[in-house]
Amino acid sequence: MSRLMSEEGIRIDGRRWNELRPVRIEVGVLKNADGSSYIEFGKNKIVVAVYGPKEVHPKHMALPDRSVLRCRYHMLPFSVEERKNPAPSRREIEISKITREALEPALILEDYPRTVIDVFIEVLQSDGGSRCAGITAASVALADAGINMRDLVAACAAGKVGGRIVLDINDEEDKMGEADMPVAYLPNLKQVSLLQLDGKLTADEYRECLNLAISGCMQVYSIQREALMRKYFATDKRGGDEGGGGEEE
Amino acid sequence: MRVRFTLPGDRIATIEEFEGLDGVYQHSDGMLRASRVGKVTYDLKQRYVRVNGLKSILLPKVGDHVIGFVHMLTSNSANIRIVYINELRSDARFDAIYIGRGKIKVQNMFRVGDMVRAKVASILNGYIHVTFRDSNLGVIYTRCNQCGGEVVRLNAEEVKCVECNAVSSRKLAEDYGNVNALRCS
Repeated sequence: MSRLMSEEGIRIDGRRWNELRPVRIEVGVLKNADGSSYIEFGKNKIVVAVYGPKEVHPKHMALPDRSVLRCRYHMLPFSVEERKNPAPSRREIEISKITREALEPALILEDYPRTVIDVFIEVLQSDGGSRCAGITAASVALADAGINMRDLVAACAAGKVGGRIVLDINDEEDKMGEADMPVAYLPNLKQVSLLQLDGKLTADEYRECLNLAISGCMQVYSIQREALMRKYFATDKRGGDEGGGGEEE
Repeated sequence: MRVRFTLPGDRIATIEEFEGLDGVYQHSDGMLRASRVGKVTYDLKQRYVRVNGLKSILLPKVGDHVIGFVHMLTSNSANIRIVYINELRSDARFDAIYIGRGKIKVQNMFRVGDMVRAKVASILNGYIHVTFRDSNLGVIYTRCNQCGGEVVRLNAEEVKCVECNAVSSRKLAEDYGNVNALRCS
């Protein structure tokens, strides 16, 4: 077996193939933002702030029938081992774009015409899978801001490491593994809003990887639910007399 | 009435059972789902269901009363930066526009920096249009445009500076000078 996977199927950080890294989400961590959240996804530490809906500047960007969603994914200079230039890199611009595209299907932007919603994702510490963690936290922050949404968005990656499909790959597995597939998922509506694939997979591996990523998204979703319930309905985590909604499988 | 808590996407009812109001949307699968974090209220008599959000988002609507300050004046129009919508603070920095028609000279109604109360008349072409056609609408706070000093009301259309005695014209709200006019949440 490779260095990334032992013969017993234990990964480099001690997890099994279908195990997530520890995830912790806090809601409403910033006083001055309309909505905010903080996520620790393994060693990833990310803060998200949401502002809006508010007036669009420059005004020609405003849309008459819906709100404009603007996302900024940014890694702080100290978030990686070697100091990163704080200017937006090609990678950050790409992740900002795919974050917007992953969140847009979940938002009811038609409810806020001629306005803009700004989402700022600041990566304090990076450890692979930060785009998924960013999308997950941004979705919670948007819900915290009171913006109308069709569903929350939960994101998780799967990939191929040491010849095996595994869930939630970390930085080392991302760099040395064979494939990486970040997926964002709307758990109640059962819709995929983001799917990227870096690497090579056979058709069967692709299906297995996607199903595993979706199962990871469902685990992340339950943590998102718990975080929002803890913030708003601390005494009743699973909701009121009907069990807090959600989908029965 | 029965109440429960929901998050966005949670199933609330089917379209055959209830009609969805605020905070509820209809999905293509025939379900009514919550669109925000909040408390669901079922009205079992009227068969309505709504989700009362825990945070309210303020957007100006036609008929709303807004308070803002004049931040740009042209010969026939004024731009107003909205800071209160129906007496609730708004940090969204919405701009409204007032266009003087006919013989109205906008520069005789306000000066840049004046605090005004207005009513949203329409939302057209992406602009919030406001009107001052009511006695309780108009300037609620202003300073002398010559020396910056305090002014007192002379009549409904004039104020006088207590320091330099300059008289200038304004479209004053009827409660101008009443501190309660500026008291908002």
